[in-house]
Amino acid sequence: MVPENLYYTEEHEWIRIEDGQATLGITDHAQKELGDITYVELPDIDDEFDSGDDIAVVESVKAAADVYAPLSGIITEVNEGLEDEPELVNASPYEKGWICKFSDFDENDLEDLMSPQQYKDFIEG
Amino acid sequence: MHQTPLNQKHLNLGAKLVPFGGWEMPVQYEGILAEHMATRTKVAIFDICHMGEFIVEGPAASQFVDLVVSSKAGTQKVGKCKYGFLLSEEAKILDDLITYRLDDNKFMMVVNAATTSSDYSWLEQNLIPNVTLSDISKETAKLDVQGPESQSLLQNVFNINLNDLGYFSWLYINFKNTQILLSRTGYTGELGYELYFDVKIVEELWDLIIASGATPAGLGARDTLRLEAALPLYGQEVDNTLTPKEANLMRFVSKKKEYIGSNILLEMGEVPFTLVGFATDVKRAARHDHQVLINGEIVGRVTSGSIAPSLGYSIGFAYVKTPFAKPGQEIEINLGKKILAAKIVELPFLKK
Repeated sequence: MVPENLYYTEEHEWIRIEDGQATLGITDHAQKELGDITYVELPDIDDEFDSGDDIAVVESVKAAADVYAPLSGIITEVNEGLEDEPELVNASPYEKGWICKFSDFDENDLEDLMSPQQYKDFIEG
Repeated sequence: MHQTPLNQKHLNLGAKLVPFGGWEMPVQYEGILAEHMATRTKVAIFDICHMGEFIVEGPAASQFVDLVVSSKAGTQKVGKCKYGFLLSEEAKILDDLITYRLDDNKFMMVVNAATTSSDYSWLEQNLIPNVTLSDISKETAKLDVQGPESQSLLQNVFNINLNDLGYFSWLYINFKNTQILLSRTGYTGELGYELYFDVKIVEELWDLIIASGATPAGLGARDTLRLEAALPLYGQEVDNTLTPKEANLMRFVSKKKEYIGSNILLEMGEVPFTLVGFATDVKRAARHDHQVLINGEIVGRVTSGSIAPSLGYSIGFAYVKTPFAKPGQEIEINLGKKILAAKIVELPFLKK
């Protein structure tokens, strides 16, 4: 499942842009690869980060995976629901399983990210 | 890569297959957590056809088993089975195994998949007169049926009564003219059974046991289950660089007989590192090869670590410097970018 209207990364993250704010999560493909998610380490609000920084950790029964920032920005909101229900990342990767929101990114950098079609080709390739 | 005879069954069930010990094995079907909980609360079935089975037979079979196995497996009664080690002359652990006494002069050894061929060569080299050794792994299937409902399920499927079958005991049952060896053993810390039989009926039995209510479970759940029960995994907690003393497994070593490695092992002084179990109070888990720290100094390394689904926090095994290897000792684990607080605890982690 690769929804339209999102940007994607080679690290299997998605970004939704709404009202100048970005929401970040991991893709359906990523959650399937990881298996049951048991823990999500969230960033702190107001954390400032550069593109490529690790900003969160998604841990499954078998392994821990870093979540890398696809853009630079400042964290504005985190999904605190994941603290008690990390399995939302499995059940609803694009909606209830979002990880964090951030602002202050450079819109021009969005061009470096993948479109839904490019991401589909990437995971099927 | 070897495949078990159930490979296509696993694919049909939507399993995720991974390499393990030279075999392509299902790590999970629906999900590790659901399979773990099915084993703890109901009943699950595991394809364990990758493991190796040898037959040791002849007038000197009992003597040979006692020579090569660390526990008193050679003199146990027919109808029993015993856990133990194959040790090198230097008392290093070549493998851990279960030895079944099938008859006065006949035994079955069940060994790990990755070590099957090296074990066989080593046993052959140490063979004594009046014993024959044969590898029956290819024609032998193994299914584990584990969980609190395993007894009632198997009683219904085979129309038998298992009330009198004790822990680490076995019996033969008949299924359509095929003999099945069924033992009350397992690798989960739950009530459970292991079944050995002719590979020709493995697909039929797999389907029948699932149709009777068992959840198919993969190696992922097998790993979290055995970890909660504090059972070692060959290649992680024990391997051919370690002795049972370091692994804190001297209870599976006889002090009353001689076997290969016994002299070295029983004369061994204090070992520098000892295996311990540790627990955290968070869900973030330590992993294989993470460093163990005390006051910032490296004192050991993690061998296995995971969330314990039945406990709700993460646990693991680690080798630590022996003076620190005591319950209550606080340790830290270096996750790379973060330090995880943990404490050495009494084993098993999950007390039944």
